Amino acid sequence: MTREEIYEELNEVFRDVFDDESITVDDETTADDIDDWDSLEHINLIAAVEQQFGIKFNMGQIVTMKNVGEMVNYIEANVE
Amino acid sequence: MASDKHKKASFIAGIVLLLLVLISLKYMKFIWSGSLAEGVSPSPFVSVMLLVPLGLSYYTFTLIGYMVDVYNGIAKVQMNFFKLLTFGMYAPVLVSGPILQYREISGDFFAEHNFDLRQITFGMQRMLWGFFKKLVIAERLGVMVSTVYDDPVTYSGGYVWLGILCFTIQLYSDFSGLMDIVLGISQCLGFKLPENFNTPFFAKTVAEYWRRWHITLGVWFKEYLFYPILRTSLHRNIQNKLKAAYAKKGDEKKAKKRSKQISTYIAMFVLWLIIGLWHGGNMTFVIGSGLLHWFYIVMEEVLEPVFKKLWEKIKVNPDGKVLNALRILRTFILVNIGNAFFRAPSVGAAFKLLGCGLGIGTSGSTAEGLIGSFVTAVSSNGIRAVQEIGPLGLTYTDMVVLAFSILILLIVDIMKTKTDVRKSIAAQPIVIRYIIWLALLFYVILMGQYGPGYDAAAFIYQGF
Repeated sequence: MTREEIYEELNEVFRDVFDDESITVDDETTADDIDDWDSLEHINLIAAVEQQFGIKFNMGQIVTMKNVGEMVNYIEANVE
Repeated sequence: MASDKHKKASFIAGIVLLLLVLISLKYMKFIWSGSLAEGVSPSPFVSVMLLVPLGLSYYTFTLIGYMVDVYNGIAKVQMNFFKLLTFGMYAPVLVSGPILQYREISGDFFAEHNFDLRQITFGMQRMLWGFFKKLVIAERLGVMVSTVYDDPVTYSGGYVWLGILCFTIQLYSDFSGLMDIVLGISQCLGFKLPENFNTPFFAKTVAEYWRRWHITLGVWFKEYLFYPILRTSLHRNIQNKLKAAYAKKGDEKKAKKRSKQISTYIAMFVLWLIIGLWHGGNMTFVIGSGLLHWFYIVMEEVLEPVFKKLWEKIKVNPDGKVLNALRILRTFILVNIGNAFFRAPSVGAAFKLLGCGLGIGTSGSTAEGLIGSFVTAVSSNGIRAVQEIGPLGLTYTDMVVLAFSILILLIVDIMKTKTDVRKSIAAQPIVIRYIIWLALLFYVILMGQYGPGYDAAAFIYQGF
């Protein structure tokens, strides 16, 4: 999967989780940029991303991920 | 892989061992003291069993966090046992935190530190501010709080609310004062420890309050308990079952949302129950610093869309200044009620206290109004009478000192939301700087409650 393809699917996941069709994320997007992205929604987001791409994050990655770019790096490295 | 299995086994064994020590030592006292008959003094063996090592839960949490992070690959393992011991037993944090995360501070912790006058000055200034909060404010408030909590019937009505308010400020100035001392000592030594408070009483919701009060405890429970609970298959199963049940009623999107919410509330219940139990086996803690806050946060979530619609309907700006001020006030009141349970000797006593505040069961009330008795004292005996003991166990002079000090605390906390107060003082001309810090120093020396004749009470949070 290319990075662009990942972003295309990832945007859909974000729009679905945060219930906001206007969301578009990039490498620099962080929890501060999306209103509802708090510690609770973070874990729901992770679960949705895992389901979408058929991958599994470990707890270390979940708590240290700094922005969407790091999330995409991991997806890129692990997705089939 | 065999090594993976080995890794997992030693990880689990380590966590179990740490928890076993914590639970057995911390809760042993309930078992042992419960087995004693009334009036029987414990045998030497039991007396020793009742002791809990200082800082037990803080270093247990710190070490559990370290092990989990190493296991998850986000902290580097420390092969030098003595270095790990130095980190785990770092003395200033043993009394009551902050809870340290090895992955965040180990770099700084083991780096070489040179003499740095600015850091030492800043550290000592912060310690002085901590002593001001603890010795001038918290100790005085403690007298008023005990007076009211010990006899709510006499002090029914406004006094009860004053007592409840005083305890919240006491808890804050006591605990955050201690944190200022701990972080100040560490700054003198060259370490920057994580902040435990961020002007919590300016929070707009209870959820936000917990991101600003005892911050390191919240982070710890989030990372090492709450997230793992949300990632269990049990939690996912509950969510799926709820979703299926809701989907039967139609709207799939709604089913997804509801099932997510309700399963999260269940997980939060477990989280807050454990936070409450951690504070102590007593039900007052389970409610006052646990389940009541769970209830608040769930209510905030449930009512959010309701209020959103209401603001739209009556055309009020949901982010207006007045509305936000009201939200801060509401949050502060809710926190105060929680603290009433936290401080009261039993749940029944807390209900009685709140009842007295509302004027229920207060036939024995005799306390004269605060202002009324102040006026009587001044008018009948001249200004000297201001030294007399007032109705809440403090002299009137102490009350004036207290009110003035709390005002200063409030002003500084408001300034803190906008700027780094110590840095802005350091930017002033030398004369002003010296006046400010010497005034604070002598104020603490003269007005602090310490020394012979005083027994500065133990810090409230050191027992946890």
